[in-house]
Amino acid sequence: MIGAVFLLPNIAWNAKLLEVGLIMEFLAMRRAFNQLGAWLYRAMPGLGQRWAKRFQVQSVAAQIPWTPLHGPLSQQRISLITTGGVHLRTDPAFDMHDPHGDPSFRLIPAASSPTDLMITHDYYDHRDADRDLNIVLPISHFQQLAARGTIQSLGPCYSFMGHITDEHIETLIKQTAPTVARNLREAGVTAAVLTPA
Amino acid sequence: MGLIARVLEAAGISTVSFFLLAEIAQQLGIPRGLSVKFPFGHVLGEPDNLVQQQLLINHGLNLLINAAQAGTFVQLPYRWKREDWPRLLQAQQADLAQSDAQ
Repeated sequence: MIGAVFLLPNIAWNAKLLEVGLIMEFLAMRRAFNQLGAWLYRAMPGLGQRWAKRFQVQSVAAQIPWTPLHGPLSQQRISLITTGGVHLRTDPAFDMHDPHGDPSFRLIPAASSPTDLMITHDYYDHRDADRDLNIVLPISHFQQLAARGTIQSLGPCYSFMGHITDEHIETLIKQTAPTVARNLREAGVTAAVLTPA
Repeated sequence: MGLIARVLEAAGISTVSFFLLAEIAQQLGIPRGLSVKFPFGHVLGEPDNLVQQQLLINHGLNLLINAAQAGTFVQLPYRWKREDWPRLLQAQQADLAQSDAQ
């Protein structure tokens, strides 16, 4: 009887440990599964096109916002925005465990070198982008365009993580994307070039 | 990504957006968009192919400058790994020089 009383908390504790272990294993398996999916889409581009045809697109109002560009390219301060999950190596990674994605953003200073940056994103195969980040975020090209005077300057750049669903879409539209828009305006940015993963 | 473009554009920043899936992009109501039929993770092409990347960026900047109305969308015809990129870039630069001269 006394032994049983002693054992009880232990059983509960062991069950808790087992539960945590199972959850961690599940998360690791899901990441591996997502990475396998990313590899498949990379290996067979046709799959992506097929997937797109079945994808139900949320209709976002018929009216399309429009800001005309003022002046020539040489007077534009341009920022790059990507959804490729790029961030400074010194910044926290994007959250890969939330199945609805991570609607936050990371600042990428205009003077960043590709070697300062890395990608955290399980939903696409980024081995080629790890080798040459410019295929997802063309920062070296735009640094050169600014140095040559083709554009006036490169503004602060930002990265999101794609694959955002459900309630996080609301966070993106209402909070994080407007914050980036405000930051860009304050930095005197006139135009942005957006690239997906 | 289309959603972000819409938020920025509404806040007074002109945007041009690249896409890999033209079908989705065109339904999202993008101010200025262009698409390539490349694999995910390769929107500006192959790693270290500077000529290819430059050609695609030029297309984007050209659209940024020239699009006259909201919803202007260009589907680029390029085939993955089956184009002569240096020749295409040369032709593009000749085209741009010609349109500048006019």
